[in-house]
Amino acid sequence: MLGGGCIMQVTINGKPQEIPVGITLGNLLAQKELRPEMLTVELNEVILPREHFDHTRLSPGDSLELIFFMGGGRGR
Amino acid sequence: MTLLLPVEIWQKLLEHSRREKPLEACGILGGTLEQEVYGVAAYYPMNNTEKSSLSFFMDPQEQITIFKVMREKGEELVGVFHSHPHSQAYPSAKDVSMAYYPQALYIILSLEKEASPTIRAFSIVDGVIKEAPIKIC
Repeated sequence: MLGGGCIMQVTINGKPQEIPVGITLGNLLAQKELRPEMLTVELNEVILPREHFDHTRLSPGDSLELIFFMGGGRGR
Repeated sequence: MTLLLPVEIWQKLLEHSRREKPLEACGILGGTLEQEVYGVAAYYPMNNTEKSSLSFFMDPQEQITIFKVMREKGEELVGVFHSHPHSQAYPSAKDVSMAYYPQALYIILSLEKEASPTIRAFSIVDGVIKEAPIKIC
């Protein structure tokens, strides 16, 4: 954790990033303009249910994987 | 924008698609992207959780695992692959609606004519489809 200030370091998709201390996952996604219904989030190797996003507060050193769904097909 | 596809990976895509027929096969292509040349280095066949001949959806946990493998190998996401067992190799409305990786190509293999399968690659950005030539090398 960086000394003082209002930011902390986490890892997102393998890359270190600085984010506000105490931010929730829901707010982080909103800041990044990522719609929760399009993606899966793994936090510290555990996939989080979407309904947990808004009350999951992130901590220094957290490791996140944010991936968009992959789907499609010919359809009807 | 060009997709460089090694012949051995083309063979893997074809074999996977034929194995899964009549269901749609799907997978992830890893490799390099330099100045609009997409170089495929590896194919990761994925489980189609929908088990459908009309649609595919990859398991997110499996997807995360593969993304981590690709990252360790220094590979970028080059393409999202799926087969159309009974229709042409062109993005459907559903394909376009779920094209969430604008930096990747969307590769479709058609087995509509079993004896002469076709494969095509497309960029899909903000709903706009542009075909990318494939060089099998």
